Amino acid sequence: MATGLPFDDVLAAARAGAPWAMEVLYRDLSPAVTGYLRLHGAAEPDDLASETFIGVLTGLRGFSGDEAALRAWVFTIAHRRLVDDWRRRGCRPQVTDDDTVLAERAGGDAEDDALTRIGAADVHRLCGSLPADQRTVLLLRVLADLTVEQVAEVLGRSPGAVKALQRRGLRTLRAALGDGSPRRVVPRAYPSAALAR
Amino acid sequence: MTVPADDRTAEAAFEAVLAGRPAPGGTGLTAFTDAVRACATEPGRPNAALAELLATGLLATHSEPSPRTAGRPARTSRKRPRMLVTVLVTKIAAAGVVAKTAVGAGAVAVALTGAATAGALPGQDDPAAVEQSGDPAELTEPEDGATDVPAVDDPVGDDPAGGTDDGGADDAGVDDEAADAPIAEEPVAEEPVVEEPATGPALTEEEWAEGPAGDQGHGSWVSEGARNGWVTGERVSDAAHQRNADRAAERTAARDAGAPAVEEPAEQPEPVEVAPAEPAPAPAPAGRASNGGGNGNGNGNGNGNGKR
Repeated sequence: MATGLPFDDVLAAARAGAPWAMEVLYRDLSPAVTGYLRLHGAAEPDDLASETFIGVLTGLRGFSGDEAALRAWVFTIAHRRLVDDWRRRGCRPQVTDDDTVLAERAGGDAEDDALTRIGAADVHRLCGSLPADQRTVLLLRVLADLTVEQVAEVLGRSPGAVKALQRRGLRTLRAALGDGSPRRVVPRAYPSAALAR
Repeated sequence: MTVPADDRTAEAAFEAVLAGRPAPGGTGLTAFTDAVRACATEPGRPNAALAELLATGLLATHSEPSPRTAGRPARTSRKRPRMLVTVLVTKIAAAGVVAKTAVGAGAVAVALTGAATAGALPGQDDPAAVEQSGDPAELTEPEDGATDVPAVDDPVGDDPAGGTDDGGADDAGVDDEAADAPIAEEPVAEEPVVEEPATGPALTEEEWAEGPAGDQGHGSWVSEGARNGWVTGERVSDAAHQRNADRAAERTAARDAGAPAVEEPAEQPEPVEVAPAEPAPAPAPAGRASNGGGNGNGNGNGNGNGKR
């Protein structure tokens, strides 16, 4: 773990209810979880993250597995909280407007030049340009360090379906920056099929 | 236009970026992943519930059992002993006089039979002690150590060397000379409490073994034998079988004669005599044998609706 403590010891202590171990797990996983929720456009990412960790910490007694399994489990809970939040809010993730130029190109490969200058606002806009399921796959792979198979478990889909979503997400991402010109980010509504899951 | 080859290249570059390897043509993806990760470096601000959970943990609420219940086996029902006593008392109170008497006599008989079997009754090995026990004068005899409890509990011969010179307490019941020893009177004080005064010192064991006398109940017969130390399970069982056989024969004879049942030898003469004197709560069916054991539980509920 990031704290240097053996994961098994921390997990055992957290299962027993030790506050320090819970704090260690929270400090280790909270940034990625909160970032995942924020980049998905959650209105209150901190609150959703708090709900997620309350569920995680109070449900640790029923968990068994290694650190990767714990990470996958935590993001499973976070994703479910996010979907619930979408349902409550009318099924539309928040996106930013399109008036801002992504980046000023310095020449050379236009896509690379644009992406090397990506800031936080630009990341939000790029993520907002992706369909929710493609965005989910890419964010889980980048932020949660999950494999295709683990993402498939989180989403309740097959690994092949996840690979297809990832491929289309990367294609969308390249297309959004392909011509190197400033472009508008098209808000994408969360698909009803994804809500039904 | 994106072609499948481009997709595969993009996927390979993406996997390389995620693994931290340099990817040809993956600079943009590297920047994207770095920017995404840069957006996820700060922990969220916990709400009040999570902050409390992180501060206190689960130790106080879930992890440890209550110190008041830890280590104790759970009882299936704390009300059960009290309930059993209550039900028993209620049943006895609701029973008729005859039933109460029968229950009491049976309890005494069972207690005496058990005591006799265990050899706990006084003077079982010494009929003389029984005769002495009926002498009320001896109740006032005990002195200087008569109530010495250890002397009674000590097994005979357990301490052959000592105690004899100290008053003979340890040899009580062994020597005839111990009849005037204080310890010999120790059981006498309990004798009147257990049963009514002895009635048949002249009765021999053989006479007793023949069974209850004509007007003697089975319970009193067993009690008498127990007092004299003649009771054995075989004798009691035989007598009970004989009594039952006699009753069956009497019933059969009464049924064959078409006459009302002959009054059985009352095992408990007192209730049988009392019962006719009381006003009958309900007319007994004519021609039915009465053994005095009816409980008279009328269960009519009076649910008539007035319709004909």
